[in-house]
Amino acid sequence: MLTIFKNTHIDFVGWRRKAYIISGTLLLIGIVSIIAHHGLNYGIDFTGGSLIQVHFNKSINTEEVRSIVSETGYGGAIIQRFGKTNDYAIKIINKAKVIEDTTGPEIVEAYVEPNPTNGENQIIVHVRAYDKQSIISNIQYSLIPFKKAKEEDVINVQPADMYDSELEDGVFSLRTLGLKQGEVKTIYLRAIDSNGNIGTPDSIQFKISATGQKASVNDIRSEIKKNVNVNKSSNEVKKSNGEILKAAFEKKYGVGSVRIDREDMVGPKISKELQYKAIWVVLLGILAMLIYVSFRFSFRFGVAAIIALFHDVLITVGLVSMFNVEVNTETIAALLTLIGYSINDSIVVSDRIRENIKKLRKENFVTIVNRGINETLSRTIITSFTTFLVLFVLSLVGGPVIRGFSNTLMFGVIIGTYSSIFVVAPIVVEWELASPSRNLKMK
Amino acid sequence: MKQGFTWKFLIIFIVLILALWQLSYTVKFMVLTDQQKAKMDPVKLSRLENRAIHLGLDLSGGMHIVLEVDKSKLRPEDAKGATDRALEVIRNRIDQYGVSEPTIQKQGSDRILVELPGIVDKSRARELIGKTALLQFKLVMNSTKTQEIIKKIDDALSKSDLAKQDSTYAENMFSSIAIYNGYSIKVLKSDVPLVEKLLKRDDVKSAISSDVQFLWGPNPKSSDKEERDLYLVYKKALLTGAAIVDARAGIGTSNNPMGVKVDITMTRKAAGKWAAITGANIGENIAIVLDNTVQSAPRVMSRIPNGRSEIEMGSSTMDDAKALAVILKAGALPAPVKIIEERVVGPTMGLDSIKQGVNAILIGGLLVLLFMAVYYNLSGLVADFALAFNVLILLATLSLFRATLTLPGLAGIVLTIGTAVDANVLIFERIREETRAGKTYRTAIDAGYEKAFTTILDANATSLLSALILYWFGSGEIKGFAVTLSIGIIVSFFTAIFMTRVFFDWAVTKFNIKKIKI
Repeated sequence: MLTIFKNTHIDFVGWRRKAYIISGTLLLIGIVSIIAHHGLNYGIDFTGGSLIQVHFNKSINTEEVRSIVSETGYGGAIIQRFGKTNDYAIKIINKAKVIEDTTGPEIVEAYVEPNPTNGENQIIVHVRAYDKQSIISNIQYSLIPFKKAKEEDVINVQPADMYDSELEDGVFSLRTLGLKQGEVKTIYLRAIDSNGNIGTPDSIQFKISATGQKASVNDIRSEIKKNVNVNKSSNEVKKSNGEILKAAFEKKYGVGSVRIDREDMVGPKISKELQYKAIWVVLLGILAMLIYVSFRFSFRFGVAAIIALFHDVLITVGLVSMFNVEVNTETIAALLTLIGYSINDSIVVSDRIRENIKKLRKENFVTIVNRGINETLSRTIITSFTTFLVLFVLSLVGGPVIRGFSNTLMFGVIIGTYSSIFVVAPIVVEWELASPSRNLKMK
Repeated sequence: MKQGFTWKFLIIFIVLILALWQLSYTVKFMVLTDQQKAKMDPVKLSRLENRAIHLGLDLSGGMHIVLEVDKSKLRPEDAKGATDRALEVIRNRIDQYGVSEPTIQKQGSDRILVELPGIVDKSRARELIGKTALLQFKLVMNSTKTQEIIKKIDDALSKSDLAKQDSTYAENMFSSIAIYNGYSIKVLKSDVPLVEKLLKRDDVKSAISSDVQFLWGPNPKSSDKEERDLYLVYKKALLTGAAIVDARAGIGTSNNPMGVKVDITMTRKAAGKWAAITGANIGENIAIVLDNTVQSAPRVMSRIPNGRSEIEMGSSTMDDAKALAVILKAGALPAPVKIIEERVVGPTMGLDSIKQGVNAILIGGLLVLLFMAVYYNLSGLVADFALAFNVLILLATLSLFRATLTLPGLAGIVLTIGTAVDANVLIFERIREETRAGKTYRTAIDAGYEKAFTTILDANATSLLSALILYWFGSGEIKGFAVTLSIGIIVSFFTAIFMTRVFFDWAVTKFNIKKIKI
């Protein structure tokens, strides 16, 4: 049988001034670190962008990887090497990848329906526009050249088929009423992409062979059918950052020398949402604990536990900044686990103090508190130790993906243990000394 | 007293047997090699797979994609249901591709989550979900001509090099595996790959006239339907989805007041064409083709003059009719989809993560077990057993509820190992104190459990509370963490409190122990 802490009588309360200095210093260091680092080291979950994990079949140094990555057009990318192996993580935050698109869509196909339905006095015109980089938002037509046309002369056609961002079809009808027989009609066409780039105008012509109320199938035929072949490259699927980088690496090191192990792409909308959610979830976690504590604790212990909770979360975030741990959704999971853990530790110590208040009515308050902490000391240390132990192992062997989580929680467990001994109880003691509660009644 | 122990031990025993039983499926599934899986009866395999622990994409490898449906270009009345239609289009394609166990879910009002286990080829995935939804009406070839073509294929195959190697090709090979019933060609699910291979052959292609093509019907969803339809249709589209204004499922056809139907309304422009098409093809079948899959091939009963058609669904259910209506509308009003989140994990990475996670569990677990045994001796061993059972029951529960095990989920198990002993530490420390205060062992144990219980309850409640909030917040992977942590906490009530208590009580009674090693 082993006993590490047998009947300890340590005057923890007496150390409280020193503890305040330590806590204050840690908080300050954290704040300074966050300011010095210009905020936390956010992962792509919160910044948006791509994270590409590459494996090379031979050893390649970081500088070489960096130069290829920036030559490929990702100048702002962050490159990290994992351990001794040939694994790299390439982080491209959203700003690094802006598609420079200044060219508008091109009209690749336009024709007049050769076979309009009998009895209709309309001509159906089909237009097909193509843009490699952006989504086509509108196809426009006009009976007057665009340069001369006024705003009301230009008519917008919404692309009919919008699944494909590169190739869009537009269909519109032209009324035959008012058209003269034998007249050659020109329709000017152009398309606009979602960035507002206007494509080069094009036109098609056709001759009206018959008009009037009885305009029918054979009355109108397409004189000129401009039929540009659809660009072959339109069938090319847009490549992801990882695929582009893989191609660049393979060009240098040979096909099959590179493997993409993981690629995460987080769009700006999702990253915004995750930021917002992360803040909310931490606040909600604290609020939930506040409510729980208000049921379970007396007012003073509750306030002390919540102060300790803020203390733990803030110092942990400070340490995360100091050690440059990447902040992603896993880190938020670690913070929330810490919130539960911190309150849990405070509960154990406070429960014992409350029990002792009932048992040792005649004793001095400081003695009662000290005794409570001492009695729970071995439990506090053992549980923290086992938790720390598994987290340490996880950080060591659990792989790089989960390391941010385990490191954050490791900081949290140390701080949480410290605070349940040196923060919660001393606050209650300070309070008691400043304004003694009657008969030490604490719920 | 003895009676009490019997049923308590029985409960523990039954729980353990059930947990092991549940976990045996996972073990059975995991030891299977890919070749063995390929040989196995697919129904049995999927049943086994369903009972095994379900791995998240970060462990199994695969793609996770979140799409957003852009409704800004649609009129408000068309925007309604746009997400459902886009989802149906994507589901249709993924079914077509035969991705195993895909997840296609609507998230909120305009998002779709697609998870494709095993697929890491981005271009292939984009082809599946990003391509243009194309709905076409195509004329199905009549039975005389279809039979002619099948005959030609048989002849072509009998003359081919295949027939020299394998005598089964010599005589009517194609018509014996692709059986024409006058409406569609039925192919056994197991023969589908072979038929696909044969149809790609040049000699077979040349046997088919150039204006027609073979198109498959949807992949049968239920496992009891063993056949897949194959249609021979004319390549030229009679009409496209743009012709459709509306499609609605309903009950009460012109022939049967209880019959299930789909009503289609076409544009005024298309109605004229449709009248001509239907007028010219009475008695023929017209295939409704979405992305080269024949969704339905109704027979034309009469000329439809006004653009209002009614598809009688025969023996189909209302759900089938609704699905067809959604597909028809999807072809008419496609909404653009955009990938807003994409996470791809390669199979090697997934395997590495599993190895690393399992190592962390084993090493962390062993260290904690060792520490407990050293620090609390025999009682520590009891706690160790409880801890081991906790992890067993936790894993069994995960597979029972088909919860997804992710890498953060593995971290959750590691953390559970570190924190689940807390309950025992609290109890043991309390018992130590009570014995130091001079109490007998039985009363010390009673007091230890009793006094520690509220504290344990508090501790677990706060952890559970934060896990629940995380579950609400988290993406799939984080949810995995919240789930394992929560199950671990709940199970610890049974293992760390109930199980150890039963054991201590029993030991004290049985051996009349006066001294206990804590």
